[in-house]
Amino acid sequence: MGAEILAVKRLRKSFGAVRACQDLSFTVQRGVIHALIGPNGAGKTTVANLLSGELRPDGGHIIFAGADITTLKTYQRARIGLARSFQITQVFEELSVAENMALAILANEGGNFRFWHDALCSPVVLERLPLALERVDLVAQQKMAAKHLSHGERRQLEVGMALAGRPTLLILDEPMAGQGPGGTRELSRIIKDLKNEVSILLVEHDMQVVFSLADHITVLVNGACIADGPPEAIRQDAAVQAAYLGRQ
Amino acid sequence: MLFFVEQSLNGLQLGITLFLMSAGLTLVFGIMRVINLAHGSFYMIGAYCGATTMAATGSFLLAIGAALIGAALAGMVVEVLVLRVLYRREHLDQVLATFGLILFCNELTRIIWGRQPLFMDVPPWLGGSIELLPGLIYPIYRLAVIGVGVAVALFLWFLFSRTRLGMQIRAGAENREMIGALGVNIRLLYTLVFGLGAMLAGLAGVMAGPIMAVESGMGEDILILTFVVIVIGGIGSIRGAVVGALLVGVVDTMGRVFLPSLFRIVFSNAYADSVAASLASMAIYLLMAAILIWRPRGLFPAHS
Amino acid sequence: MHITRERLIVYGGVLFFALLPPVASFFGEHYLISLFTRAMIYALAAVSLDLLLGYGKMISLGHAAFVGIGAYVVGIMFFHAADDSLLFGFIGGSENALVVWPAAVLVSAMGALVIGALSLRTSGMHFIMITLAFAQMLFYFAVGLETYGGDDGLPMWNRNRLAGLDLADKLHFYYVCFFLMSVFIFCCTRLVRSRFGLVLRGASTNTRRIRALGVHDVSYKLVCFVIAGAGAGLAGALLANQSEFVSPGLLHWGLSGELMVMVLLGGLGTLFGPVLGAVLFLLLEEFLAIYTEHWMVYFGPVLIIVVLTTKRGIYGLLVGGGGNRGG
Repeated sequence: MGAEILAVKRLRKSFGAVRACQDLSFTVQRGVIHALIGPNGAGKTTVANLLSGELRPDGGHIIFAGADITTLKTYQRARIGLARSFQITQVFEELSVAENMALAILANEGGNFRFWHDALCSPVVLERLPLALERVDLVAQQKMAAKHLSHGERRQLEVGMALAGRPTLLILDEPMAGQGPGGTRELSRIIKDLKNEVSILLVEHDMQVVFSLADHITVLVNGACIADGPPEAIRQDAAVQAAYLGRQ
Repeated sequence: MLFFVEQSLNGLQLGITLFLMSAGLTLVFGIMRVINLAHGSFYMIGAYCGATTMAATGSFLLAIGAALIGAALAGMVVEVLVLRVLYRREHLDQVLATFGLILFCNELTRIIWGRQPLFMDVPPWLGGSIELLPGLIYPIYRLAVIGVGVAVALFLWFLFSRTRLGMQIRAGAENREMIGALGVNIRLLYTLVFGLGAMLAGLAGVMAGPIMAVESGMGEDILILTFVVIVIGGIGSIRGAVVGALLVGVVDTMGRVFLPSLFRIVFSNAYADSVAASLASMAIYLLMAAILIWRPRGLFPAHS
Repeated sequence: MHITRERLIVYGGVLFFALLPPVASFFGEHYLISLFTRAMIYALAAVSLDLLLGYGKMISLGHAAFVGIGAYVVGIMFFHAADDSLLFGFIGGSENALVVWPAAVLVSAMGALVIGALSLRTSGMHFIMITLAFAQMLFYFAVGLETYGGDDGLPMWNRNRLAGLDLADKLHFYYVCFFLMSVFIFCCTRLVRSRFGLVLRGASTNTRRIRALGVHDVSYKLVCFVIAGAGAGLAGALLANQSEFVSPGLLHWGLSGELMVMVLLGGLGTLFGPVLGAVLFLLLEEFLAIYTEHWMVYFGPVLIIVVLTTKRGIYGLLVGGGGNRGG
């Protein structure tokens, strides 16, 4: 096992004539915030879906913690420590915030074919739920049904749930989408705090956020990588500037 | 060999009936994403309208006309009054409301026509049999049913591949968002598709009239077979409906005829007949299970 | 606070069922005891269906299949006990409830395992149609079982034996049904709050999310399907005893539809609601039929209106607020 947690090798995916991902290769180091950026339609969400296993690539390989996971299903990838949040929040609308979080904690624990004791009173939940809620500032809202949360709170819950299973790599798919300045700041703080416990692949559109958070940036245009390097290098890269300015 | 051809024709005829039922229903499922249990009721309404008209006028052509109009009208009324409210509801609500519709329709036919089944005669000009091959004598009426079915299939093919309306319907069945993008009056399109589906079911009903008894509840057995056809063919696919219907028609007929003789080779007579009869009626469901394992979304799944 | 109101309704219901037989006997209305026995058996089946519909969001239109399987196990075992023959050449018949009822539950559960595993390869509309189709398959299979009465069904000369009790006695049988229904519902209330129940409810509200959390949702749904099938099988075994008769009608899709009506009428995803639904349905059937033989013609439209206007059925109305789904 090396210093890299994720290696993407010549990944390809097409939808009909549209090439959403062409021969994409990059690596994510352990313990860093690695950002995947690109203009709208660059194929960022496709990459997130390929990595989490919701989409099957047409070709190429995905290596996670030294193992080839290209053929694993979503739930199998999640079990070995690859978690994700969604661009459009996916929470359990009908369940309460506490139940949402408890479910996220239990999901990766195994032993869920237990039919008698109250789930919210199981030892692992009692032990980890308060901290998990606190980390994303949702202690006060824990009895509320998820569908009654504000947009920003749902985002926090979404990120909190992705973290609850103690993943080794967390893919955050446009966590700032639809957030006001306050929500963005709150979420940036949460993400920064995570840096020490989990590697993060941040798929993001908002350049300011990326440059303030990321240690390493991969730039995607039309499904292909056009630049890869530390923020300073990316900021000065001519191709990146052309891609972004050309679009505006 | 002749016997085999004869049974193939019988299977084809059942397949045709199922095709008429499933062509409309698969479009309703595909375009409106609404599960409609009451489709069998249109089959029944067609049969009753036809049988009544036939008894009153003696004309089979008028009977068919009455069945088509009756079923289409019933379909459009149901669409406007009930289905329209259900489009945005969950499948469970749709199942329950259309279950209520079945109860209502079945009881209403009992009130109007009584509990006794009606029988419809084969019209004289379609009566009798002809010799298709040396030694193979087949009823003309059944051949006519097959002919009508093939004609309807050709008509649908023309409608869906050559006309603007048909292409809009097909585009909608395969990709619902497309309809809105094409700028079509969705409400009207839905009502028309529903009416068309009901009309085809009514046609199937009136044509089955002279072959089976016309009675309350006759629609449900055929409805479940129709579901099997759609599961096999894939939701929203006319091609799937054709293939699924023929497959189910032939397998069901052949199973009932040939399984007992197959079993008699292995087991004693009485036992073989009893087991084979049970298994034969299960044959199409086993076929469905096999296709489910192989292709969970059916043979010709429409994109979604 | 609606929690106490909910408790109140549940305790009231328990008290009602417990006291019904003596009160009915006092007023000489003995037929009420059989009517409510039947209602409790249907309630058991409806509650098991509520696990599927309300908690697993699996719209099965073939639940009667498992009621039918349970009933046929009892009927067939009785048949072989009566003429001392062997089933498949090696299984002897039995009239002992402690043997036959668990067997009915087990066979129904196995049937549910097979049908569920196949049906859960799909979802949505496919699932509805496929469960209906498989139930119909078993219906035709039962019709074809000439040895066991085929179309005409299979009569039982008397009810099963249960040590220390006389099941032929109305009261004894009533309280056995009451006990089994109560135990089943209590287990279900535990189940939906357990770890399994929580994962199941999560899987049914958001498949994408539950998979991203590392859960193979289909296995949880399948286990739920099997548990529901087992519950229905127990109801079938009781129903066979109640009517002392088993027929293909128990596997008919019409019964599946009626069970679904009971669940939605009573309150989807409430576990107690379906009991109310079952009682109301049987009472309507019993008493509306006195006024008109065509009661279905009114019931059908009423059903449509109820579906279109209410959210959580009678139980939801009684409890008020939104109720507390899943607990």
